[in-house]
Amino acid sequence: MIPGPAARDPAVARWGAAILALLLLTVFLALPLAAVFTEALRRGWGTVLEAYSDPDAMAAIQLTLLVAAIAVPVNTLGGIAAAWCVAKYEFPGKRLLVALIELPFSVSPVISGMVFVLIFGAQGWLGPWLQSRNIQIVFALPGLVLATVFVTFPFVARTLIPLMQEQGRAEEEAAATLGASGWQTFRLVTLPNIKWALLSGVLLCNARAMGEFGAVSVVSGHIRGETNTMPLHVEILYNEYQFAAAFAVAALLALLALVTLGAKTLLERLSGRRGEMV
Amino acid sequence: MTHPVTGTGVEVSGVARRFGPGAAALDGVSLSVKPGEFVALLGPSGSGKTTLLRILGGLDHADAGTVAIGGRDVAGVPARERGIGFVFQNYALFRHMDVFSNVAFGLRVRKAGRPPAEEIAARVRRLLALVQIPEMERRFPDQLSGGQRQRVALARALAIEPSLLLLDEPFGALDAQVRKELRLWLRGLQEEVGITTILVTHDQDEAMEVADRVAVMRAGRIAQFDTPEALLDRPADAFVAGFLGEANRVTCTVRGGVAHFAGEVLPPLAVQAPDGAALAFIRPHELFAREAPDSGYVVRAVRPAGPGTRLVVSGPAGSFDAVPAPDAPQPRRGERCALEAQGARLFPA
Repeated sequence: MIPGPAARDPAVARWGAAILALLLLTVFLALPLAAVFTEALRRGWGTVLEAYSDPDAMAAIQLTLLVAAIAVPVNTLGGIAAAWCVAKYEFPGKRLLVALIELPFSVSPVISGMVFVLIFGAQGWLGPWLQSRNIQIVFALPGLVLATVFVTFPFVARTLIPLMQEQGRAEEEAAATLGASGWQTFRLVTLPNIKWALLSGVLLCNARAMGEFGAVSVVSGHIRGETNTMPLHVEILYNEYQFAAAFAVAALLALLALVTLGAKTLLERLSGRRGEMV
Repeated sequence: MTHPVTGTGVEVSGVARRFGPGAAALDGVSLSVKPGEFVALLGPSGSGKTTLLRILGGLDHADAGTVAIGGRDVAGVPARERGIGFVFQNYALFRHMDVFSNVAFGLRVRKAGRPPAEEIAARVRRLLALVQIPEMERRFPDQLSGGQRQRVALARALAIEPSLLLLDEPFGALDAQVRKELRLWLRGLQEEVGITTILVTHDQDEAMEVADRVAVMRAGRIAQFDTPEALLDRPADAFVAGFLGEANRVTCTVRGGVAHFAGEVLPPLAVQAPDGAALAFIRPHELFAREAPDSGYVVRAVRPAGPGTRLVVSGPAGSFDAVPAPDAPQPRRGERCALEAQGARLFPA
């Protein structure tokens, strides 16, 4: 739609806004990203590959992928369930549930991490009980997964809720009157209606799960080769003045994020096309 | 459909439903629908008609009372096991499926007794021919007009060969011309298939035109359940009389079989009603206007209505819809005239 002359802003305002936006994007997004990649590659590909083949770096990459591989499916299922409840049913405490879903976004990740230490740590509420059974949660994989799940929970739910609310419950009710079971209704009616939004939410959740620093830093304990994820490894390398290695790992992390973002954009373009909705 | 489906009877008795605090959505509704009958639930919005329909379809439950469909109490039977065709207000077509898949859905999800694919395809095509859109198979819901969506929704509901068809404001979203055409077509289809049908509407023309019997609902109760003729001729109460058809309402006092209108706005009228204050409903065709130079009434509008003429007459007591007296010259706009009621339905005030 082209707005009429009356609705058009003066050229100065339009160009000014565009230039300002571009300038901010360049200074705060494009430049830092470019800096990461140039720094990483400054001493050539050899250094980069060397940084990746370091056993500690390898362990960090593997751990990051493992944590994401657990946390993302958990949040996908949890997010669908939460969105389903909020969008399709009326129940007391619904507002509270919506507020709770958004809680991880509003709470500082550091606090999120500390909560888990408080509950599961050696001095925590469940610490003695866990110790007596030799279960390690904090400073181990379970703690990292818990913290990541907590921090990234809202992504899927938040993407789905508005869409599912807008779509309403009528199609599900129609499916029920036609004899479909609950699972058939979900698989044949609900899921196809939300699949693009779901994928987009999952990708965002994944990007954040791999990049999470604050909460993970608190529960990790920074044990090299064991509980260090990629973001934590980058910090350690940086603090030890191993800039080349730090930037090499950072570049890999940034690349993963860019690929995720690219995939999300592609999905959105595909979902906009009629033929692809089938 | 090649073989007519036999409809089932529906017995609703004492059904109540309440959503949260405040007035009940349904407050003791009883209704008996005969097999093969076409019944309309008619009422203003908030009268509980859609709630009743959803309870019949198993999409909501009654807090009290019983619902029996085909002689079987359906309390606790979920919607998917009722085998009732339901057409939703905005059709609720599956937006990511084409027309064929929408209609085939009810057959494909069957766990036991799912027909083979060729039979499903044959049945879908028969249904699409029945609803007169055979060429739309591969279209998606957003590529259809409102009337076409309506037909798809109907075909989808009929695919499971229901013995009861429930329609929630099926023509609400259509423009007037399509609506008229479709409701006559629906009535013909219903007779052809022989399925018991209950339709919810707030449009009295629609209800009166398609239904064998109409249940007029008000505030969670059925005010009257009768044939369209009986509803117009013998309304059970003031609400039904006022809701159906057009009527002039005038308060009056009955003394010895004569109604004296308040403020003498109309000449007294002989009626059969007990003494006391009453509200009279006078249909426009029962109110005769004839020229009278010294009257307080003036003809404000003259409008041809079918074979006759309708007048809007106003005076100090307000405005009336009337017709010209058949034995006198027709009053023209701006002329003074006298009004005389020929008949009225009275309800104690």
